Amino acid sequence: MNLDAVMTEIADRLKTIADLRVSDGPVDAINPPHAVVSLPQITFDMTYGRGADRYTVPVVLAVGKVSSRAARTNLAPFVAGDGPQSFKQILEDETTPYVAFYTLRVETIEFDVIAWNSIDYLTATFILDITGSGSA
Amino acid sequence: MAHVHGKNTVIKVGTDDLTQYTDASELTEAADTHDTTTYGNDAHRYDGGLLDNKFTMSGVYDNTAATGPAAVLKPLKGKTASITRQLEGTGTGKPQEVFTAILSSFVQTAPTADMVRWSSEWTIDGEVDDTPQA
Repeated sequence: MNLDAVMTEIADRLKTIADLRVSDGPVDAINPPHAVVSLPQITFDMTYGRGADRYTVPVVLAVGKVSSRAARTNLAPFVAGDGPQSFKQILEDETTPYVAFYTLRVETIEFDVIAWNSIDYLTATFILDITGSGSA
Repeated sequence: MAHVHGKNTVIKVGTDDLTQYTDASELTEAADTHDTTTYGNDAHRYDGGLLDNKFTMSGVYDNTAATGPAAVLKPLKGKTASITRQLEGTGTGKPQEVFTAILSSFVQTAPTADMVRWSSEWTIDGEVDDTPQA
């Protein structure tokens, strides 16, 4: 797997969600709702002979200032198990297979408050479990 | 002398290279023992018997149509195949185990929260050839 191609393909898939801004790597500033595909943890050698590797990719979604009453409500459709804004549904849709890797699963979501430019945002961090070729 | 990592292991079944679909393999070289204890002994006495070897291999399911583990192994259930395992990878002088074995089971497991996996158990017919790679 190629790091650049993996992060780009995840971002491209998320860009199909209406009214969501998406960055395919770390950014200095955000404009909610904004999803940021973060750098992964890479686990090599799932099989012999460089057959397969595993990426654990965090995608951070900021929906609004933590002080905003609407933030939690705005977060709900993105963290839902299905629906047109569901990261789970959109990212795991296999109608169009991924090219940069074999499989993707949205494994967990963790909620937190993260500051960008000294502004605290309510965020959901999606943990993506990705496997792909170890030699390509 | 040095420790050797398992990641370079090569596995072939016949001419099919299953290396890239496999993440574990185990060759158990065992032998029968016969109890020859007679009166006058304070402990059991044994003689060695016939060799009785087993082999298992398993890995991550891959739907590659003609060369994936399911395509290669499913037709071999109950049949004999030649297996080659190279623990340190390919190279002149490196160790190699070659044997003939009968595929006694092929299992595909599908957990909801992980990759689909396969495993296989083999009963070895005859001895294991440990001659290093030429």
